[in-house]
Amino acid sequence: MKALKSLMCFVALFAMMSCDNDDPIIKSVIEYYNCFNLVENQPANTSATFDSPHYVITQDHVTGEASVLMKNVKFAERMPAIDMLVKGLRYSTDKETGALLITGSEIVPVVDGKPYEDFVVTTFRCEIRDYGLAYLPDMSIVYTVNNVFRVTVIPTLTYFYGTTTVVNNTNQSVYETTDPVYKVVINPKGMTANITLHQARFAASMPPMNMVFKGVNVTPYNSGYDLKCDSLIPEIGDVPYPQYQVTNLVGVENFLNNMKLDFDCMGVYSVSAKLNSWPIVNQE
Amino acid sequence: MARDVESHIDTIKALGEVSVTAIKQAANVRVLPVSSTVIGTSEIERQGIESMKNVSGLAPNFYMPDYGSRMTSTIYVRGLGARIDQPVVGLNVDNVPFMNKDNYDFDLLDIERIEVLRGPQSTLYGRNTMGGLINIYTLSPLKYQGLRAMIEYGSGNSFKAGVSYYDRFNSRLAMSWSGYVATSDGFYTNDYNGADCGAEKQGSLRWKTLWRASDHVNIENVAALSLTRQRGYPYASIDTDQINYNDTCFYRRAGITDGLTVKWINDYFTLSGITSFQYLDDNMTLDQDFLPLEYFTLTQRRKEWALTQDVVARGSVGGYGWTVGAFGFFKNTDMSAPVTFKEYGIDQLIEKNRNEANPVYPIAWDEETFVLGSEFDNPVWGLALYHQSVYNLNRWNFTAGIRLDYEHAALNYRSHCNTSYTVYDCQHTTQLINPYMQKQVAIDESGSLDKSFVELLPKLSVSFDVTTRSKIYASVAKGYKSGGYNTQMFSDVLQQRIMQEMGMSAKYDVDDVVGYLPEKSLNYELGAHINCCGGRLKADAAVFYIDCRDQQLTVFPEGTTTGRIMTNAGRTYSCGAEASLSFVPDDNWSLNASYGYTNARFVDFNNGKQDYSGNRLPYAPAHTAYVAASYSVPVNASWLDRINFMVSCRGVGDIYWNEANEVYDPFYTMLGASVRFEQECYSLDVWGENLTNTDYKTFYFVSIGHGFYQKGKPMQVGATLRLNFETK
Repeated sequence: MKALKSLMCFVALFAMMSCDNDDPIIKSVIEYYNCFNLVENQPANTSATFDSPHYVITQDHVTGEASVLMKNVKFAERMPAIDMLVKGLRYSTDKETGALLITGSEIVPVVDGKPYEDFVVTTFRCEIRDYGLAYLPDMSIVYTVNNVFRVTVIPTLTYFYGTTTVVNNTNQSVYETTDPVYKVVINPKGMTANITLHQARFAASMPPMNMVFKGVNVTPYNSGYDLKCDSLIPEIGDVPYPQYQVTNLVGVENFLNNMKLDFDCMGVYSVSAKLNSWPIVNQE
Repeated sequence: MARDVESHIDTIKALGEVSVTAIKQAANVRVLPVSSTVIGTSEIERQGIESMKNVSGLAPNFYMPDYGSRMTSTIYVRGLGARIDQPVVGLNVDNVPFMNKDNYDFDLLDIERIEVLRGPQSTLYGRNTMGGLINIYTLSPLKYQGLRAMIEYGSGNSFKAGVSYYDRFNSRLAMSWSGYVATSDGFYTNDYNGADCGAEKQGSLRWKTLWRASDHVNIENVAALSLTRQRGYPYASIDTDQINYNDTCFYRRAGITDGLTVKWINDYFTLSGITSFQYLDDNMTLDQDFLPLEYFTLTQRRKEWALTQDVVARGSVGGYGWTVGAFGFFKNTDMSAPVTFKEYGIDQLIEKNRNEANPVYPIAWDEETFVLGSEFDNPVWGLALYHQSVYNLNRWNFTAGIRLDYEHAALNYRSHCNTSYTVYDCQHTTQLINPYMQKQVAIDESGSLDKSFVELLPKLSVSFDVTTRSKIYASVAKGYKSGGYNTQMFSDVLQQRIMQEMGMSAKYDVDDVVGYLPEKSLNYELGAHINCCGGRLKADAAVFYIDCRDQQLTVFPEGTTTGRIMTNAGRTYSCGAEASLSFVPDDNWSLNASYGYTNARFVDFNNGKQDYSGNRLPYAPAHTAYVAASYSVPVNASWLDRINFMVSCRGVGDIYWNEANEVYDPFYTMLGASVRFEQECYSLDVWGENLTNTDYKTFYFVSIGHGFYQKGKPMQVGATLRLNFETK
């Protein structure tokens, strides 16, 4: 599993105002832009998705405070996208999980250099796991605005790894492997996803393949998202493979960083994958 | 025959007095605690030995099958051998170590003595002597002066001719020059085009200089040039028993060697330096499927040069003798080995497999052929320090030696392929008329790999002189075969890359696929050298056990069924016995016999698909046997001194041809005979080999699901005339 980190992009984690290796790191910055916002209007019980937000999280190790610059965010269809800076957040370490927590409440953001009291960040919570220079952070951001809009930031590009179990329905034999890596790319405009299975194999005798499932329906929630597709023709090497038809695809991803994905292939193999996620916070 | 005994003894004495040979060990290897076979001049002439292949079977447990070409010749000793890359047996010719086993097979004129030492010789000789060592010494112009010539004609339209001139200018300087040519139509015909596919032409020149620079300094230089051109690879299909392939197969080789030996002798020790330069330029072109179909071909071109330097000091004080040495070498190989995929191969090996998986979107290659290109640059260098002590205590002799060997191997590679195919949409038609997309396959990858190895190679032995000329001994020695890179595996690397381009990908590391670590062995041996009856009876016997670890094998990685890798996955053992006898009861009769038995098996070998543990090692025979009787009739005429009749029988087998032990050939024998007319200035041999016309295989392999074999040579007859005008 740790080896899969070599497949991931590196985090744009750099020290500001410190060029010398011996100098202490003064600020740490993470940029998160492979994502979209799920915005729930809680009183109205409606929701909408808005693509291409960009979050820049800065930790100031001198003052002990954090700030988040939210670029290109909007909370309603007719609202123009704005950039707002949320300052005065606190950061701490979760004693149980070791995750870095950045939290805050009742913060008036800064827009165009001035306090913007129309939108008050009522609550803010960002959780970063395995945070450190050598690790790729696993991150979730959830915040509310004006106690009305609950915003959940959902990654558009995530790699999952774990155990894939395949049952051959003709002879009930079971094959298990940890080789496949699942890449989920969500298109927030159409709310569909392409799932790529790297090194996919359904039997020991099969050569490993890179299979792409295109156009899987995505339903986001504030706790994760669902994937569903009744039937699709996978592609291998950009070529459709009708013989490998995939049916009954169901995936449940939650922001506890795991996913369960089930599907049938060729009408012969029933595949069930229990996976953990490493969301990519930078562009590939 | 007394003449044989005397000639053998004379050879040893002559070497001890005037020759620089036998640098690291005693001139007479039969006094050493090692299993050995020594073949002297008269035996060499009577058996018509011009290359090491002719020694096969004469020395027990020594087998060098004749198949393929002069590049593919492999040596097996006590069950150990290697078809590719590093050898298990070292070869020295006039003390010059040959660095590449692909250059081991050549004809040599005027061989004076061949020593086959069995068991690891790694302490004194280092890398790639895990199974043994072969020393070949050619005639010295300090010992012989005059003109020698030979001409031979035999079956297969085989013709050989050689001439050599030996001159001693004064008491200190002598030179010899020799030239040799040989041609043969071979014994095999390619049914596809009627060509002689075992035909060969070769020639060589040799120039030897011996200079006694002073009373203490002897210098020897041997320069040689050899050229070989073969239409080789007479492999027949096991299904049809026919040699039938459509593309060209040949092997061409040019080799240059020069070895300079300087020996300084004083009252306390001798100091010797052996410097060699070797250059090899060869081309192996193969119809790789050996079928009358357009599958694929390979053209492997190589230029290789090597420098070696050995510095050895030997001395003795009382009963203590010592040897100290340092060895270094550098070898560089430039090679290109493109494989050309042809129409039928593309159809059967790529399109068919791919389209069975996806008949709705089948592919068709855009070209009739494409090339998988590979180029390599492979520099290797090494350094070693070694020491051996020998202590004589009354009739006991104790030997201990150690060698520290360091080697560094690098590989710079480039793999490339530029081709394309078209995917067709056949949802509504079976004809390839609706292109869906065109895919380019453009691969051009380069990289560098390197490895280093450090080995400590000890040996211990103890011997007891039962009589002044007979001894028994026990020894244990470590041997090793170098690690490195198997460039043939790059075809597997490119295959994986092409599959990746098509969406089928297996994880692999190039170093894992092509690189391998050294192979090591421990050899335990008990033996005896017996001389009795006034030297008329000589017998040697040995029993041995070899534990071989980290064996270099190709396997499928765990959990995969495609994409082989080189690995050190195997462990084998080899145990057996060998014996040889030479008996000269009187001036007329002479009897020679040898027998070797080897039980060599895998202890641990799972190639990812099958477990071969317990199976016999392939290609190495379980038994080797040789017996020869000769009777000499004195004539005492002015034009004829004697007539010598000889009958011999060689036996080899059982041989298993694959790790699964599914294909094997039983023990077989071949009868030989000769009549020799001999006079001081000439000898005429009329000879026959394989007079029983035994049918046997020398090689078997499987390629793309088809089995192929090479048949052994049929009955052959011929005559050899040798002229000898020695100046007194």
